[in-house]
Amino acid sequence: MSSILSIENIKKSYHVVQALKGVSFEVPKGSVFGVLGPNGSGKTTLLGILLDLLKADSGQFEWIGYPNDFTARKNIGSLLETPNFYHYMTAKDNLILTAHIKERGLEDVDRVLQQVNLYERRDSKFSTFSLGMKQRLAIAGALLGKPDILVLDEPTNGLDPVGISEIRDLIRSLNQEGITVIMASHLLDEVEKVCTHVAILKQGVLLSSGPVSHVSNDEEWIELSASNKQTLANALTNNPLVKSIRVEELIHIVLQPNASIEGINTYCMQQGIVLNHIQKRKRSLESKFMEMTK
Amino acid sequence: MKLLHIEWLKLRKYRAFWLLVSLFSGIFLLWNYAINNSFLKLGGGPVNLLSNSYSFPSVWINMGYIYSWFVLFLAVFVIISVSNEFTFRTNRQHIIDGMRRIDFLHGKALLVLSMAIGATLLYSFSAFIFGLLNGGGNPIQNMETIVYVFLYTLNYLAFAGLISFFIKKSGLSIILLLAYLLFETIIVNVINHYFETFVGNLMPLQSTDELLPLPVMKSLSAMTSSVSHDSPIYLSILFGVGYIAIYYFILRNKMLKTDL
Repeated sequence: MSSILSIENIKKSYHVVQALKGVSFEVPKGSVFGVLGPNGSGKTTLLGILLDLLKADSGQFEWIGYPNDFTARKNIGSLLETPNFYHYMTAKDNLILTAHIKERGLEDVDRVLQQVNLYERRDSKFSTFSLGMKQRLAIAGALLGKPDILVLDEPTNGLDPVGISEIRDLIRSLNQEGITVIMASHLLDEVEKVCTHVAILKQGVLLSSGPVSHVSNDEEWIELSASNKQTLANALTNNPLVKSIRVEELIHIVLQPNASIEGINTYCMQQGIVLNHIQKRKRSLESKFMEMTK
Repeated sequence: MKLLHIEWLKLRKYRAFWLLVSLFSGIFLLWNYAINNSFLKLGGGPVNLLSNSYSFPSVWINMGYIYSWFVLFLAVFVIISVSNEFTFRTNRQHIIDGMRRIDFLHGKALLVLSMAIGATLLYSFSAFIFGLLNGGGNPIQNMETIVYVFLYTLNYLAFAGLISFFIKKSGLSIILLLAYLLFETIIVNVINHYFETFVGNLMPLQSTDELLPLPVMKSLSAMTSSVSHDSPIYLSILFGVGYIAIYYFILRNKMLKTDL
């Protein structure tokens, strides 16, 4: 799969705080690429550099297939931070202005307003919009002119569950049309449902990058519980069948490659421990993310 | 022109723009009407130092002086226009949408230039009409004041833009502009008085202010002072143009190098 964006060793500091410490990765063309990380990991800084809001201290990036960064940005639809429009102008007038800046999409204004369910409010001033409506107008602005690339920072921010589902479906349908989506989000469950590739950042360092299935490693884990949870935890700790154990409300274990769920069940019975809950789970991106970023 | 069109799209439905432009134009014309008809006087009783001031060729200079007081309306709008971009964060959004950073600055520069041209046209038209109504001498004499009015306006509005690009808040920028006007007046007089020179008149806003004097006040000053504090016109023009260039390069550097 060819790349649409190549990032090489980007560094960025804010005085003494080093936000990015030499981040490099490539975004495949046609992917839905998630940029994940806890607060302060450098996600927004990275997206800001890609969109020329911030200047990197060193390193470079290239939008592949475009003669220069300026031309590339006219083909990128972006949603960064809060929706930024003129409060005294209507939704439609704001999008018309955006289309003139992008030099494309003027004929698209009504279509994108319909796409985000704001067509009936097209003549209302931006200042009268709720947070969700503002977010949807920002998404409409990003969609003007059918961009090749979408760069989204927390696209579901401020949306209700129905809105979140609509955005998820929208991203999927846009990706099916061939649009590359680069998305920063804290909603890991959503990212796992939507993204094909992911990069995980922590404190300005890239921890992992690649297809979602590779990063989450397809590991399985077992959820266990017994009436005496502590006894069960003691029996499983330092157990040769168990690779790792995490005790929370339920006990989560990852089995050794040669172990099976039946083997664990049998072992517990032999120890006189009666399990009241045993469930196999696929390792989610969230659990992998939490493990990598703790 | 594309950049100017983008600025126009922002202005055409902005109430504050139409209000300030209307106030500028309306009150400027009314004020001159009042002076022309002696409703407004300079002097007491039957004495009016402004009488016959709106006939050719003196109308150009006298109305130029009156005009200089009204540019503040336009300067306030320039401040609001620039500050809005930071308040609404649309300065960032324009760049995100693909506008080059320098084009963002040039858009505002073109707005300032257009306002300066428009205001100068209003002044020129008004002065010519009042001059025709009152007759007098040669209408071409002193007509170079039109250029001085344009340069004065451009300098004033560009300075206001410079302040608001750095301060980013409209209220604080307006206060700072007014404070600077007072501060500069003090500095000008201190320099001229203590060093018995005209160099104080070459301060940023004073340089072009010198191009639009009130002749009757200059005459009074000449009668009462033994030292001339008048700066040569060519120096005022040179410094005025120079300052505008400095503002531009300061802002250009800021736009190209700093994080938004």
